[in-house]
Amino acid sequence: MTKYLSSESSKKKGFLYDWETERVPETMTRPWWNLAYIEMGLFASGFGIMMGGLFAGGNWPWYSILSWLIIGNLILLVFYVLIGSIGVKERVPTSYIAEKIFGSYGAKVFNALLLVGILAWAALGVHQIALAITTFTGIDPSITPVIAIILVLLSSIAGYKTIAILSEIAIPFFYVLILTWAIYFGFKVNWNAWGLNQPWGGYWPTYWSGVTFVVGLNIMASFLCPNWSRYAKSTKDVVKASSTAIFTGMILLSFLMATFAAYALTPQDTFADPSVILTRCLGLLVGGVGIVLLIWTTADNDFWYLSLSAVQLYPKIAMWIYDVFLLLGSLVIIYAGVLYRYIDFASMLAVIWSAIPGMLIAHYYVLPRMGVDVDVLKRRNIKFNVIPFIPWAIATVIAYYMSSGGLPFPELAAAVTALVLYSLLMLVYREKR
Amino acid sequence: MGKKAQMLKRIRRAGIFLMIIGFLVGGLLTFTTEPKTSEFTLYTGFGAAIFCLGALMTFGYEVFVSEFWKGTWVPGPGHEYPEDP
Repeated sequence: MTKYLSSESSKKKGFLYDWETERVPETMTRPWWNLAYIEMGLFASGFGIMMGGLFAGGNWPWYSILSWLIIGNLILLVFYVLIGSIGVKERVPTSYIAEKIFGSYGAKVFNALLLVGILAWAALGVHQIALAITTFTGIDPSITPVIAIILVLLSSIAGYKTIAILSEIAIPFFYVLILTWAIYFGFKVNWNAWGLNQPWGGYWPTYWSGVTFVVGLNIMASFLCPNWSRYAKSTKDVVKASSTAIFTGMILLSFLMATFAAYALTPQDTFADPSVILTRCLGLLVGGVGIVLLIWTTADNDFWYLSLSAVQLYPKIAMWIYDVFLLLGSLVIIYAGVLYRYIDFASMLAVIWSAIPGMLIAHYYVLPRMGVDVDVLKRRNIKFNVIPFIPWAIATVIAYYMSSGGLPFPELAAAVTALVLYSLLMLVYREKR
Repeated sequence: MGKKAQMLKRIRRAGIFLMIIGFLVGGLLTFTTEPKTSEFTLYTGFGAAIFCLGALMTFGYEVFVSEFWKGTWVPGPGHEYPEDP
């Protein structure tokens, strides 16, 4: 379990120590804008690249897209603020907060699943960085994954500290210079002939499936919020950081990349390749560096989260050592040629994650009001709590059948189901007043 | 305010100045050019380099003191600057 120590540990453990097994002390907290930068970095490639390209080719007017993003993000914001606040209270990463729900051994099951699931996306990030480096430098694609893992290692090795340095450069670059260039290219696009007004792809069949996509894409990140929010001074800072990051990150970056895509792509392009989009607009060097920064700021967050989960599995090894091994692991996945098969598997696995935010909210906001203490498992010395696995399984089945049937908001349904069932089942631990 | 704190303040001010120059060159001057021309490449490349250096000095100024690399200090609410020894 976590220990509650002072900043003396930091002096002893040095720069690479990320408070992975202890509470973050007051002296190591960060300002709200810095937390927002970290969160914006996490959203950068998903929304900046994926959504932007899809929007440019989608069969939807810009105001529909804007309303998807606003509605979807308002729903997500509730999760981010509620779960982010748990990070402020506990000041430990999600991997250790999970011990309060699953027990110290049960949390290892959760963290092992998380490792298996996120490693696919983290490896994809490395792969995309490598492809971008190949595009703008011409270096052989068999070498660039090694360059990519060195870059990601540099920014993720000390956790928050190094990720912050990269974000402090990349985020102002996206929000000022890239935005200015998007405005510049916005004037060059013939919007009546091409772009947001023209059908190209027709990716989302209904309005609500667009909103569902926005919610589904980042609901998983909500239960990982404590990984960064443990560095916040107060809940107010989490609210400011999340509101700023979610709305500017997802909306601004989506429209920004949509503008570049509308300028760069032609109807003959069947895929909105981010490297192609930015290098066609900004040239090989600036476009290439821009795309690397965009993916890098997300990939380092992924490896950070993975390392934090690995620490909970076996805390005697420092986080940075896990980080090195996970990056080498992603290199093996890429060189073995199994990356896309692994991503298919991780996409299938993604259905299990929606229940976790529901159970976290139930544990910290519902159960204390029903007479169940937040630390009940620790007080009763329960190392493996079977209860959360039941609502988790049921909610997963519901999410699976809803998404197979094309029903809107399977993630929300799973989260609410897990919240209600977990709250009811945990009443067995209710204290007698 | 100690010497290190003053040094960091100067670094941040210089960073803001570089960000403004980077924005003027990389951002505004590009509007006078056409895409894919050599002027466009020069302005965007040069402007981006200056802007990113400025962003590091303004927002990531913690990297300029040894306490950060020792892991004993980070900038944050109520602990913005390291104390003089």
